[in-house]
Amino acid sequence: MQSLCLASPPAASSSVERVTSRGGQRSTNPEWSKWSHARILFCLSLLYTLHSPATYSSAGPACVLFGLPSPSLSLLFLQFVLAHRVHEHLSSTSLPARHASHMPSLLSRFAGRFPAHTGPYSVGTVDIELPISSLPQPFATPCPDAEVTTILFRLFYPCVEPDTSAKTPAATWIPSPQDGHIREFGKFLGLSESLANLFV
Amino acid sequence: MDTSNLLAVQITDARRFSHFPHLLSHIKLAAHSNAKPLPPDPAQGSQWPAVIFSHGLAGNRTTYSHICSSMASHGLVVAAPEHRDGSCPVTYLSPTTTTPAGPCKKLYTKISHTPSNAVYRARDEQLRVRTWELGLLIEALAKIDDGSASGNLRSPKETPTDAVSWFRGLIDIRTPGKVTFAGHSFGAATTLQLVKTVYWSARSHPQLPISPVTPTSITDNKREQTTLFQPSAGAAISAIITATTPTILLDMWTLPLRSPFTSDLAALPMPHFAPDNSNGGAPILAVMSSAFAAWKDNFEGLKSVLADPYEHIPYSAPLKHPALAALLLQNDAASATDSGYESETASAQSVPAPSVEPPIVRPRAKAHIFYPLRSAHLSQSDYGVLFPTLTRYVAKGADPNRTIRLNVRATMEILRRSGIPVQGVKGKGNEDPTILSSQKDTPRGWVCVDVEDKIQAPDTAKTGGDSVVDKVVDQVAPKELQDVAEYGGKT
Repeated sequence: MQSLCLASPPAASSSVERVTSRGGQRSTNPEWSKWSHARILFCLSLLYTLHSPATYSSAGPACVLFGLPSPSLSLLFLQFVLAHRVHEHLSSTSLPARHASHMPSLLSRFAGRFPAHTGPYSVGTVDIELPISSLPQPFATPCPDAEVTTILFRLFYPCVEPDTSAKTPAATWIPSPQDGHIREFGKFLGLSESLANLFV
Repeated sequence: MDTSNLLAVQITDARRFSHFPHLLSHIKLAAHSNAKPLPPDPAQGSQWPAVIFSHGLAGNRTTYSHICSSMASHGLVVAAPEHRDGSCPVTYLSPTTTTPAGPCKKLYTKISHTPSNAVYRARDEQLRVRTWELGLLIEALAKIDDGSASGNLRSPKETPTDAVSWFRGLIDIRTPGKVTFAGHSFGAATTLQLVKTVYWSARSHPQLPISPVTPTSITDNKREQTTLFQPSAGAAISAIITATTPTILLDMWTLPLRSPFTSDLAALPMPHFAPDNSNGGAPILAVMSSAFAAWKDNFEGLKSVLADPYEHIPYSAPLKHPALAALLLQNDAASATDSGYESETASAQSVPAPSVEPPIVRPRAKAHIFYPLRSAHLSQSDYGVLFPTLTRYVAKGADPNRTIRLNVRATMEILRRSGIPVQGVKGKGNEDPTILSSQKDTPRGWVCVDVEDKIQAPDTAKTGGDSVVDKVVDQVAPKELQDVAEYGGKT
């Protein structure tokens, strides 16, 4: 997929220029025009990819459109622009959004962001998983499911404000392994093709 | 409308969905990962109060991270377990020394939302796993607090292996009546069943014990009651669940409570309404969504189980109230017609002559029931906060951030009134006199429901806000909302 995309940049950049200049309608609000162009391009590429899975896997139309070296970066770029609208919505309805992770990624500043907590303490979080064989089990019966061999939980607690040089990456909302979780959740949800773009 | 899918959406290929991982995979938890815990102010004690939070269907240990960390920010340690009963889309189990075969996973177990004996049996099995895990969680937290826990099966790249040692002496998991149990949807049903079964199985009473026998063969005989969970006398959880345990039920789903195979448990009152407890239902909080509040059967079930069964009968009346169980069952047409249970309850209604009453003031405090206007079932989970556009236009929930803030304020006030020290909302002092008041529209858009009230019509009140959302909400017929059981997938 990568090598095919690298072959396309020269044509791609000119197509980008053509599209944006044809995009036409001069709005006095630069935010609006950036949003509308991105949205149109994104929806077109989305329809194209979803209806042509073979093409998507071989040519990566998003990267063709934007001339970026990988489909991942192309999608990131689209989401960066598209998600600006999500950010606006969040900040208009909540307390000022303050992201608590150590190293907010570029995307995390604009989409899928948690608002501030209501209480005065900073909050820490840690994942704990212990084998059930290491714990007392003073219950009438063992676990009804014999396959359950560990107990897994996440603690949230008032914490000491960490120094900014902390090296551990912030925990992600989707636990690892991420691709496994996302795939199963997608199956579970049954998202429609037309509504999937609301997620992104 | 697909009755089993709250989000009312359709996909054909999950692999396409996983081609858009970037937006979701970058989302970080709104809390400092692996930060060292802060010890409490000595004036408030040496330990933080504990809250146990049980997730619903399609959840896991992180899908309620916003409400859990919001609670923690008031001065609490919140433990959110990941249940391995098939209610997570997927959950992974790390290898242990006794099971070194590598990480295995458990996928989502699809169970119909249409009541039938098989469905009730399946949900009871899930509840048996969930309540067992919660009992074990208390044991784990007790070991962590007394410093005897060690190790962590999580990858050292994600979590330092000595993390459990940081919490030594910091978690109050032992004080009776001061550990809070909370849950959302199926997790709320789990919480309620857990609190009831632990409380009553620890107490001897002429009408108890709950049968310890679990049927070895699956039958349709409703006399064969299933024991969900039975801790031994020395279990940590038995000591902490009392008649004053704060119980927080977020958008409870009552279908699992209606199982005819746990009707004996359904016939028992909540511990808070035990005949000898004067405190009544004050520590119970149920916060619904307006979507579930409009679902008549579910809401009636909720009110049945949170009502004081001794409101109109003497405290010396039988402890097991068949009428209470029947009230939960009778709204389910499927189970009522094939049960024969109704005829049993009709003949069992015999109240003995009143004897000397215990000195309890009547009426006792009622359980608190609230819901915010224009809130979705998703609004109390992270889905509402992270995807407000989806929540607004598909699940019809406006302003999920405010919904969570109202939920957290109400929970903090319940804890405060139970004598559990928590801090107030930042900048607003340590009191919140209005959040649990029954006064209309105080705060704005917060509806108080009297447990004795008849079912309300779906909310059509317009208290401002987006007119598009108002139109959408008004057009949703109540029947559609009744069909919606859970934000679940296709069954």
